Amino acid sequence: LVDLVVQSAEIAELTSGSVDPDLIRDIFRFAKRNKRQADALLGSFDRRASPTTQWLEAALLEAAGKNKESAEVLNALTDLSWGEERALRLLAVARNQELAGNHQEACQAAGSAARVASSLRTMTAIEKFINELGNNSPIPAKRHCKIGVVGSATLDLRIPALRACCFSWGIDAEIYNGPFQQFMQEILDPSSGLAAFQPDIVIIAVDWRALTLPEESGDPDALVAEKLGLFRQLWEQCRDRLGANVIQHNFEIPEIDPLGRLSASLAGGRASVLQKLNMALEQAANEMSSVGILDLNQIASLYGKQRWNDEVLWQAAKQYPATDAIPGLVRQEAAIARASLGLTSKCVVLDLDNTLWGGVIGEDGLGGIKLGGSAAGESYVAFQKYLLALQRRGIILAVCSKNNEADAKSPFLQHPEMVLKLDDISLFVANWKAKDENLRDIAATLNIGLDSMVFVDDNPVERNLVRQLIPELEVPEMPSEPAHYAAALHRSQCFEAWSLTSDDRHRASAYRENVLRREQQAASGNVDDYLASLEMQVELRSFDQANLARVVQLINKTNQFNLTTRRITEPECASLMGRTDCYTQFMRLKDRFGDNGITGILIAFIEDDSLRIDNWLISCRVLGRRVEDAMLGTALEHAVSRGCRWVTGEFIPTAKNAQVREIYLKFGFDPVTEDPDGRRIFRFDNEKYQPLVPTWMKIV
Amino acid sequence: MATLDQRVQSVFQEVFDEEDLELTDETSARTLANWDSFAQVKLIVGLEEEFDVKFTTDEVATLSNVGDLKGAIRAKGVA
Repeated sequence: LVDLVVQSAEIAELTSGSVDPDLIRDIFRFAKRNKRQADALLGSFDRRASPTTQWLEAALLEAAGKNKESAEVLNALTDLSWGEERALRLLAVARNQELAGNHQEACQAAGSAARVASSLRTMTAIEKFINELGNNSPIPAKRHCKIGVVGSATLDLRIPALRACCFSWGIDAEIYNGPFQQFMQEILDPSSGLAAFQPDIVIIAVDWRALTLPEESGDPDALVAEKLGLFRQLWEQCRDRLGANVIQHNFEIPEIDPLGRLSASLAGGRASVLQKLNMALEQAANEMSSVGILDLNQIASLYGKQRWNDEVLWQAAKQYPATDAIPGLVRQEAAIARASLGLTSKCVVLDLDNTLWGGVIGEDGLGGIKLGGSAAGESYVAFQKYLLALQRRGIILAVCSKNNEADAKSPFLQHPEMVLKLDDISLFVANWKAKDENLRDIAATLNIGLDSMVFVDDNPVERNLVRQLIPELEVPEMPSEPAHYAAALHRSQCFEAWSLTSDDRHRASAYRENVLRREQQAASGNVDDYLASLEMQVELRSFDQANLARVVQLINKTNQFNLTTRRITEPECASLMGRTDCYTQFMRLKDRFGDNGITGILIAFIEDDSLRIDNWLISCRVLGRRVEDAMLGTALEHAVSRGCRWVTGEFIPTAKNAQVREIYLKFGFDPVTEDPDGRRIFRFDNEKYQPLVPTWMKIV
Repeated sequence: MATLDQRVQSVFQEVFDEEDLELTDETSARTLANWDSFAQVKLIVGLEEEFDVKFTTDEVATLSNVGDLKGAIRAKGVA
């Protein structure tokens, strides 16, 4: 039997060049069926003869209960493929790590498996395993999030896949599956299951059939307005009553239409109405920052509309779309959910040789590298243009290259075809140290988390090495063909954002200005002298509608200087404005090098004779500038003016906020309690109040 | 390689989340408690993927025991 497996496996491998997912599943089933003879079977073939025999070895080791060994064999599989084969390998690694008692590694591997899985079957299997992981012990996650999915078709099959995709981004999603077709009742009825579930995000997945549009309408504008009004009402209910953000599917423009191409050209044609409605939804969503549109029509087109619908399963089970189309759809849902939680990646770290240009600058020289001027050279120019556009919308660019610095910089300074200039790169690291070491340095210097960075390198060995050494880093798989680089980075979905604020657009220059400030600091010796020389202006204001989007974004993505890490949705935040018992403050910092934008938030509540600080956070971009003095000082002043005797501060520990554990002590607060889980309460006696704001700082 | 019987059985095991589920040709929606309409869809989707076949609307609605499902799969040219 083993001979047969080994033999047929090798034939399959020879013909296709990689191990077929079906064969991998067969191997594991075979091992399971022959559990009792696993040890004997292990001795009966040449274990490392080929990847397939390695799979067989791992499967038999797992069947024999030798999980640590099995995980090692799986990790040693030189797997440079992407997709199903890799997903199955990582899932098997995760299974064995968990059984071997390595919960953390198991969770990590399961998340990576979910990222690359391309079939519904594998996604479902991964989700099942994630549930087992959660039953064993808590799963480490960046965020917990409750997602309610309501719609007009059968949603059951896609729910596990959505949970797996969320998990791949470090989001532990609890998902509520609304009853069949009842999207209206679920949102409008205060006693519905959805209302009881208290979602953070509601996905409204209504398909075009549920709109019951005629093939041709006599008054298309009225029809569009009516449908738009319906959805707007649902969004408002989600915002006002559920306090939830909405991910609204737009509508597929179906292939099959009795009017043919005229459906889109006649004003009342169904295709024409759907196009208008899709556009109206985008506009309305832009006016309501709690809503994001998922472009389902685009996803259906990318997948292929002729395969997007499975008419048999539609008739038999109201399944929409076809089951094979579900992975692409839920992947996009998860990417938007991630964006709404403020987890959008912030920075691309770029390799240089064969990534930004063809060839090796240190060997080929300025004249020898491929950049512009030829088909291959143009591919690199196109990729650089994509990167520059990313930078313009607020993604930080950094360079990490194994090169002599002078060589590495020479194309930026001298090559006429370079699109990216040194000014576009916030941090330039070229040396001969290991990449993982440099990447950690880059994160520390830019003061952003490794999990906010995306590493782009053409070399598969470097990529896999970095993936192993820094699992939290995003490392998209890059194709060997440079013409496909931009597509690969785009499809990683790392930069899918919920909204773009003016602060985002300004970010890249802000990080460069920080480099200039650092140089200024080196020039002046004393920190206070230096800070005074920056001519800082701190603007402190209550929340307002105009700045709400940025305020919410900041609350949801700040990790390090964050006292309580309480995340809130936009509707929740809006409800604070105008409450007399609530003190809100946002901080905007300008100095002689530029405007840092809104970079600090403080929310407090007046409770009896005390002002309780519920949320206090400052963006890492402006740390070390004593803006915390200005913010807290102004809050204390407010407490005094409102007649509060006490100000209460709180610290809730997370993996990232250790630096503010003692911050209240620095400002003269007294510790009151400390829980076993590290949560601390502090109190300030207003009788001790003295102005805190440094004299050289101007408050406006 | 796995036989048709084994492959059908493993699809059932996956759908019903029961590793030791043993099937006979007589196993049906009546004898398997969890074999409801949603399980039927999952079975159809699972079998379609496993054997790379497509069932007809009629088959999706009416095939409700293991023997009939296997018969339909064989009729589509799977050995």
